[in-house]
Amino acid sequence: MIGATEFYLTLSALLFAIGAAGMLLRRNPLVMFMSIELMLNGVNLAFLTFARLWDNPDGDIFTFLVLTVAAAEAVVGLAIIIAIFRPRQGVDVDEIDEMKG
Amino acid sequence: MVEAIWLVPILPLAGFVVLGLLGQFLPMPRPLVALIGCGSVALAFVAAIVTAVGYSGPSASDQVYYTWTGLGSGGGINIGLWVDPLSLTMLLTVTGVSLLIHIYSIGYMADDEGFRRYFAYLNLFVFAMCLLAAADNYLLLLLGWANVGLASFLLIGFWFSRPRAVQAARLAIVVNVIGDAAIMLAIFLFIASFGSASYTDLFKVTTGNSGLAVAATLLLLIGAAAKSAQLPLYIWLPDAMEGPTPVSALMHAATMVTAGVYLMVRSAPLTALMTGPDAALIHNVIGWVGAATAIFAATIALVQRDIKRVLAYSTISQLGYMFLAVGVGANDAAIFHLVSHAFFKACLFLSAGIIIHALGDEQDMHKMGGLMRRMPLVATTFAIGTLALAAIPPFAGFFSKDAVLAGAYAGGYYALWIVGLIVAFLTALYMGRAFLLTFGGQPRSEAAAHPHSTGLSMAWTTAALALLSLGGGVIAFIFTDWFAGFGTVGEGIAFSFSISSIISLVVALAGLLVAYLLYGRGQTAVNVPRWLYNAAAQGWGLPTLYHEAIVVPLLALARAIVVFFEHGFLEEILHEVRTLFQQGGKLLSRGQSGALRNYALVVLLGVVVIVIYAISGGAK
Repeated sequence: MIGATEFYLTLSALLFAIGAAGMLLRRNPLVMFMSIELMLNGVNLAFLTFARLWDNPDGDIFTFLVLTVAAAEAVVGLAIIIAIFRPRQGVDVDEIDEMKG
Repeated sequence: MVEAIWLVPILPLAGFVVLGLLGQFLPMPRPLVALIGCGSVALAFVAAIVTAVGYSGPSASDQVYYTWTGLGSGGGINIGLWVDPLSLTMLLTVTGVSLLIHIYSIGYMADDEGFRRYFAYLNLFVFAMCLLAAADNYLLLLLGWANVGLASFLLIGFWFSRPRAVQAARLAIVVNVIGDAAIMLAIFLFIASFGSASYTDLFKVTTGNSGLAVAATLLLLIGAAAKSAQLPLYIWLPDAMEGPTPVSALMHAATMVTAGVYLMVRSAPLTALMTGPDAALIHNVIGWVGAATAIFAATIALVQRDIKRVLAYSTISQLGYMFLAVGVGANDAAIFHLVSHAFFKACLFLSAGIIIHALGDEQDMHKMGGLMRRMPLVATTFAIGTLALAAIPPFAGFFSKDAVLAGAYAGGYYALWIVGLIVAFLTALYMGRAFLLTFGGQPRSEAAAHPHSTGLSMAWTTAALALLSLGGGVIAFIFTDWFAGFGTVGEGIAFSFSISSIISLVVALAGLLVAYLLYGRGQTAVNVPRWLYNAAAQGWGLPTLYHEAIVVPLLALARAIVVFFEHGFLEEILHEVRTLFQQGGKLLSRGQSGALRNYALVVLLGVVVIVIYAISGGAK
C-alpha cells in the first residue's frame, strides 16, 4: 500500500510529464498553453505535498505566487498569440520562425 | 614709452581674430576687411614708433607680463617682450614694410574671392613675426617662429585649387618644421644645461665655453637656415613663389625669411662668450654656409625665365650675404643689409606684381620686353630696386652690401670676401638681365604690347618703397649707436671709402656692363653651353638629389609598409579575426531556429539535467 505522500508526488510528476509532452508535441499554441498550466499545477501539487509533509507554510505561499504569475502570464501570452495569429489566419507554431538566426 | 611694446604684436593678433574668426559669422564688406587688416598693422607700426622713441639705451628693457615657473631650474620661463635696438629695428622694419604691402594688397587682391581670408592670414603673419622679434626668451621666440611658418604655409597655398601651390606649401612647411625641431632641441639643451631659455640668463659669462653651447648654437643655425632658405635647406623658397605676389614680397623676400638672420644676430652673445677654437668654428660655419648659398643661388638666378623666380633666388643669395656678415662678426652689417634688402626687395617684388597683374598673370620674362615706355612708373621703381640690389651708390643696397664686404675684409676673412665680390658681380649681372629682358627691346607677346593700367594703392606703395630703396642707406648714419651695439668688426658700418668699397663698386658696375652687352639690344638668350645652362636651371642637381635621396626612399619605405605590413600582415590578421567571428556566429545561429518547440525541448532537457544533478547529490 502506498502512502498519501507518494501518491500525491506521483500524481504531480505525472501531471508535469503530461504537460511537458503536450508542450513538445502539440502545435496549437492554445493547447501548448494549457500544457504549461498543467505543468505549473503539477509543480503546485508538489509544493503543497511537501508543505503538508514538513508542516511548513512556505510551499503554500509559493503555490499562491505561482497561481498569480500563471494568471499574468496567461494574459500576456494570449495577447501575443492573438497579435501574431490574427494577420495570418492560422494557428500552427511551426510556421512561426521569423526569429530564426 | 617702452611699455607700448605689447601693442605691437597684439594689434595684428586682434585683426586676425576679428577677420578670421568673427568674419566667419558676420558678413564683412571688402572696405571694412581692408580697414581692419591695414588699420591693425598701421596701429602696430605707430606703437612700434612710440616704443622706439621712448626707448633710451643702451641696455635692454625686459617687459615681463607673466612668469611660467613650470620649466627650468632658474626663474622659469617668462612671457615677456624684450626691448633693445635689435628687436626695435626688426619691429619697425616688419610693421613698416608690412603696412605698405597690406595697402598694396587691397589693389592686388581686389577681385579675389578670398579677400577676407587673405588679410586674416597676413595679420596672423605680422603678429607671429612681431612676437618672434620681440620675445625675451627662446621659447616665446619659437612660438612666433612656428606661427610664422604656419602663416607662410597658409599663404603659399592660398590658391588651394592649384596643385602646384598646394605642393609648394607642403614643401615649405616640411622644411620649416625641420628648422623648428632644431630650435626646439636647442631650447632643450639650454634648459637642461643652463636651467633657462631667457636671453637674460643665457647671455652671461657662465654659459660661455662649453660643448653644449656650441651644439645649441649649431642647432639654432639649422633652424635659421631652414627659415632663411640657406643651403642645404633653401629648397622651399623658389617654390614659395606660387603664393600671391604681395605675399612673396612681404614674407618670402622682405621679412619672414630674414628671421634666421635675426636669430643668428640675437644669439651672437652666445658665440661671443666662447673663446678660441669654438668661436672660430661657429664663425666659419655660419660664414661659409652664407657664402656657399650666396654664390649658389646667384648662379641659378642667372638662368631663370620667371621674373619672380629670379627675385626668389636673388633673395636666397642676399640672405646668404647676411649670414656671411654674421659669420665674419659684422652683425651690424647683417642687420643693415637685412633692413635695406627689405626695402629694395619688397620694391622689386611689388613692381613685379604690378607687371604680372598688368600682363594678365604672365611671369615669363621672355614674353615681356618693351615695357619701359608702356609702364614708365614701374620701370622707374624696378630700376631703383635693381640699382639698389646691384649695390650702386647712392642707393641703400650700396651702403649695406659694402658694409658686409668691408666687414669680411676687415675681419681678415679674405676667402669669404672674394666670394662676396663674385656674388656682387653675379648680382649686378642677373638683375641687369632681368631689367633688360622685362623693360628693354620690343614687346615679345600680345599682353606685353598692351598692359592693363594699375590701381592707385599699388602704385604709390611701390613708389614709397622705391624711395626707401633710394634713401634707406641713411639709417646707418642716423641709428649709428643702435647698430654699433649689435657687434661689429673694423670701423663698423659707418661708411668710409676703403679699398673694399672701390673694388665692390667696380665689380658691380662691371656686372651691369656685361648685362648690357649681353642683353642690351633685345636679346633673350646668350650663347652658353647647353649642359651648363641646364645644370644651373635645374639648381645644379640639388633638387634632383633631394628627390632621389630623400623623397624616393621615403616613398619606397611607405610603399613597402603598405605592401608588407598593411596588406601582408595587418590585413591578414584582421581577416582571420573576422573569419573566426563569422564562422562562430554562423555555428551559434543554427541554434536560433525560431521554432518555439525546439526552444521548449532545450529548456526541458536543461531541467532534466538539473534534476539528475540534484538527485545524484551534486548540490550539497
